[in-house]
Amino acid sequence: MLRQIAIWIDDRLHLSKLFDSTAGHTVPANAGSWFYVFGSGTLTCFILQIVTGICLAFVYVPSADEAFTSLEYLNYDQPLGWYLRALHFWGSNFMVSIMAIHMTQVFLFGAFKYPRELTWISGCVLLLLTLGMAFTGQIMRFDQDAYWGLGIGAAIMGRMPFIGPNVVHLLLGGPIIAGETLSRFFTLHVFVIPGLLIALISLHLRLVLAKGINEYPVPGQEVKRESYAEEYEALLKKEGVPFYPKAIDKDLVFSSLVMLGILACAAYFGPKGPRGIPNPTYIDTVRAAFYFPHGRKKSPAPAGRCFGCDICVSHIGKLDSSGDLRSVVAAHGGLERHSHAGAICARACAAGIAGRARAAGKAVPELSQPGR
Amino acid sequence: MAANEPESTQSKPAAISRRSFLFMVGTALNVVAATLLAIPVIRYVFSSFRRNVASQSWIKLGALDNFPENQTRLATYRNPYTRPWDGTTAEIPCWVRRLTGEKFQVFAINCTHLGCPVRWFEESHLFMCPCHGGAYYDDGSQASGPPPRRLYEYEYKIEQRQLWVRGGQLPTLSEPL
Repeated sequence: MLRQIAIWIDDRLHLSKLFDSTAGHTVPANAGSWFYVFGSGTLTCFILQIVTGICLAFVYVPSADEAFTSLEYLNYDQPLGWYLRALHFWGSNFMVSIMAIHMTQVFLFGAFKYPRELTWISGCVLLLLTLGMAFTGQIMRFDQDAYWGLGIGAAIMGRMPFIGPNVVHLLLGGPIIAGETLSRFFTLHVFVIPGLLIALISLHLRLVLAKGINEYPVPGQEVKRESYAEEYEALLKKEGVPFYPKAIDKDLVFSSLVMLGILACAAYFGPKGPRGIPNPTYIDTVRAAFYFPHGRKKSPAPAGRCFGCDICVSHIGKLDSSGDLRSVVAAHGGLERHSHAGAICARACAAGIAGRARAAGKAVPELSQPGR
Repeated sequence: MAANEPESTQSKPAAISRRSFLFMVGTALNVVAATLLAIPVIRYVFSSFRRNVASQSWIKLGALDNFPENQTRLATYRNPYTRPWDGTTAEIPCWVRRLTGEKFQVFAINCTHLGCPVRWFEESHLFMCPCHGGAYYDDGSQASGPPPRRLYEYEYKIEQRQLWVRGGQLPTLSEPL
């Protein structure tokens, strides 16, 4: 019965033919090596990024006014919002790293040579696009890092000869960083660059299938343009195996390890920030000034987790000149007033304030915490 | 159907058929439509590429009494090029140094190296940038580090004992204030 359904579907969708030419295509037997797994690993990261990105886009608001608030909501109020944010952040780290390893492996194995030059070139464009995703993505966090990072990006672009100032205006959507800038970067990050990425990845994969996976390189064996095609065909006939099920095992293992790695890092390290409200007048930014004695240290968070969001610093203001935060906190009604998802965040805030006070060499304020 | 065949295609074999004529007309119409679509789309996307010099405007920074002589203080203004949904991102800081009388130097917050916010240190009379270690003297000239030029300065004026600056643009090396 199931077999009849399968035949019905296959008659209309031609899935088995599609399968044979893609997953089932022939590869040289010696291409089933651990060195070849990084391409599929990168693709795994990309698919994970799309899925987590869509989930985040359900809640994130790409407005200069609301972005920070929506990220705080994701961190503290949305169920598992912090985990989705962490997955997306660590997924991007893994993607750039594994893509770099993939590029190195392809280069060292000489897989860019005839007839696979276009695969390599499309891969180079994919590299630039992925780095573009990383840059536009970090702007989405729209905290102090992102705001000043935008200024840095604009300053770099401004150095282009002749069209520098015009490119700056194009990048910022105007003469200065304003609401349009974030919307512009959001569109680039969610629509334009992913569209280009999907198109180019399709081309990249199509070329891989059309030209075949390169055989494991042998020292001293040169690639001769005139005879390579026949040599490769002969090799496939002699020792070619279908990718599925004979050569896919290592790719499967590595991709799963990549996913598990991202899941673990996300669970252990958590998301990044947002660190500091993007108010440009808060110029005592979070970044430690390396040549100052009291740089920013990681605040100890025994009871809660300090995400480094800097709400304590931004809302409550700088540590006042007396070195005592107590009066400042008390003037703001203490921590009970702010009940983001209950006790956990209040403890995190208390831990963050304590850590910052200690790091700055000031008295640690006693702050009453709600509940627990 | 044979009776409908036009005689012209039989008598002149080199003439264009109706099918190919329609093809050419269809292509031409599509080119026209695509052009009419592309013009507004490209103008929309690249609308900010052509710089509008009039984007700068005079902004009030505060009363002269807010800026004591021989002191450098942080002042903030609301970005004139703002959108309704900007929130706190539209608050722009700047360093106001009053020399004596009505002589001022108003520095942009952006370091001339790559744009990070410089901080004024009263203890050492230096502006220092936290990103890559650039330092400037109290008059804005370079002291040390990677910045290639002195701090960007706003054009200013005093009107009715109020300090005004001309701003609304992110200063970069190729387009200082």
